[in-house]
Amino acid sequence: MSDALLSVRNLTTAFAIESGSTIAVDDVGFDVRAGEAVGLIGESGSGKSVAALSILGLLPTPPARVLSGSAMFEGRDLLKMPAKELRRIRGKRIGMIFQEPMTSLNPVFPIGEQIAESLRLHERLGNEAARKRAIAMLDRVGIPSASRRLDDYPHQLSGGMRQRVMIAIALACDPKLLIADEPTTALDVTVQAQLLDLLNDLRRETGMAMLLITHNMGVIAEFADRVVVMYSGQVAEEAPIETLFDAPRHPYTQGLLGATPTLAQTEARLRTIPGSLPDPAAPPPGCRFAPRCDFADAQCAAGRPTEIVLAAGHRAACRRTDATAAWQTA
Amino acid sequence: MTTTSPLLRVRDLTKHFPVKGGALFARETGHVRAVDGVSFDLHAGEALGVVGESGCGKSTTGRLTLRLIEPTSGTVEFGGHNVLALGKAELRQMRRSMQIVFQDPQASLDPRMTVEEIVTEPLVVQGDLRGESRTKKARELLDLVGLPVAHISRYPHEFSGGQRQRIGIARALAPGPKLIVCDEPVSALDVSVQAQIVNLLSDLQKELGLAYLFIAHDLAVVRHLCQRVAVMYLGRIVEIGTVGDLFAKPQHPYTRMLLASVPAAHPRLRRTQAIPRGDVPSALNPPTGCHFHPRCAFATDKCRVEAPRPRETSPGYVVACHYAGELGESK
Repeated sequence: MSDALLSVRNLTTAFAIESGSTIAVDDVGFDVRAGEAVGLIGESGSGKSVAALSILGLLPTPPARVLSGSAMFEGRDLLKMPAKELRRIRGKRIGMIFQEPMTSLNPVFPIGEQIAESLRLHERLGNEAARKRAIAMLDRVGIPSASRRLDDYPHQLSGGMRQRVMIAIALACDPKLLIADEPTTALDVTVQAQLLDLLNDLRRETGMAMLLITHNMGVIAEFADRVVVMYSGQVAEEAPIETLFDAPRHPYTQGLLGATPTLAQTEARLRTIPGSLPDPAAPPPGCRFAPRCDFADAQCAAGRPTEIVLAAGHRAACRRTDATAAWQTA
Repeated sequence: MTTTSPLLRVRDLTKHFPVKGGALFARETGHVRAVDGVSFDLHAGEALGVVGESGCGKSTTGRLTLRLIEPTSGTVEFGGHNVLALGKAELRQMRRSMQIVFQDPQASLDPRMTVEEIVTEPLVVQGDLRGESRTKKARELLDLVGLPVAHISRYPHEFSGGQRQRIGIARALAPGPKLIVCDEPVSALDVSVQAQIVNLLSDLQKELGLAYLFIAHDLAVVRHLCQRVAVMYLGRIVEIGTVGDLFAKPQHPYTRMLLASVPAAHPRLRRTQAIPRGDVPSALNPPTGCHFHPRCAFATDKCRVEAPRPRETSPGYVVACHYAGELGESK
């Protein structure tokens, strides 16, 4: 086996819908090694968030159901663990932050209380010790005059400050892995930059690993060591960060990079990916990207492409990686 | 700069929203200066980006320009006419030339109307279209925005997000406008779809000679689509100029912070400078003097008491900073 901290294999998750069920995550696998920052990138319906929530056992069941797969974390399969044990790992060994801190924080409890709760539960700290640690955590995540803010309620804080509180809660028990689902998406760009700085600092200090789920290529470029690109419930490509930007081999990754406007580019037209994202309830047959792909031939629609290993740590689920090798940045 | 008179001329535009407090919010306890003395010109066929963070007043500026909300003070001239002095009928007439595209196409399209009805509604309301000519016009509009003409009888829910935004654009184009206020038109779209809409807007600008007031928080999109850009902070324009100058040599410290915050385009270009801590202050109680001074590394006593007046540092390039031009190049 690998030296991975988290090792996901063959994960498949379905949702019950009116007309039967739809596969949201389809045979997905990836690793997160100790101390590593892995980016999971994709657009709407790519299954990136569902994959993470499946691993954490946080999907409402029904309608969701994990059909198969494993998620080995520190030698144990999270997917087969009794709910009670998984709860003990969540919030302690694995921290979580989500896009909208207002909906993750409890509006009727002061923020200090919400950090202390996690410490009392997982670390069995007494009230006074938990309060002290809560102050230290708020201070650590950059909340000014932490001891006075302890009794503030979430609505008294700005969006950026609320996300800092979420990070304080997630890190209170010193987790080995932090799963962050679009943590900066709802925030303004200066606040996003501050939070990415903070997360980078915390990673360096604690040595924790991170799984960062995002739709934003820039956030990935700033943050990740390695990237997993998802499209329509499946992994399209995985690569070390620089390889992904310099020599992507899946046509979808190439399309995403071309479609993302940057401050440096001055050419008037963006490269586009034709068409729109597939309907998750009725994905196209064969390669799901084939209907939008410039390289697709008749065979691409015939069956799911097998993953090609292009180099160590670089794989793409594409039949035409020979043809896509000629890709160049704009 | 062109010497012809601008299509749109906005001067000292101000909007105060009342703030209610007390028992059952019955009392007016103050006001928010959502837009606080904004001035700019927009020429025919030009795209002006308006950027800034939440609460900077960029969307309110767009709506004031079209008089969808009434300004507290200031002037808006469109094609030489004072928009704020127009009566109801005249304003309706004027709106043929001034249209808007909203952020969320889902929320701005009537789910019970077909695409044909939606895109031609502005013309029916104006009273100059019915029957077969309506269908013909709808076909032209769909074709113009790259939607299959065969889908003319479908309803909004049968389209994807990107297609719905195309419908919103077609509706804005229907009366043949000279100006379209685009209020975050691509913010809700996935990247692969967003690029299509950015290109479409760029093509339409050239083909039809449209002017855009393009309100966005994504600086890279503005860099691509616009010729000039205005940066807003707490209700005021702090810097305005061509995209080439402003993105290459930003002069206002806020513009510099904003640009420095944009995530890298490549992992080798990662930001090395930390962004100083701090949030945008509340518009309810903005800082004295220059609104940006509490977050500004260059702030002096003067900045704390005296609001800087916008001044031209080179022809057509305006910066509202006491020390514009004296701060050196940004890193």
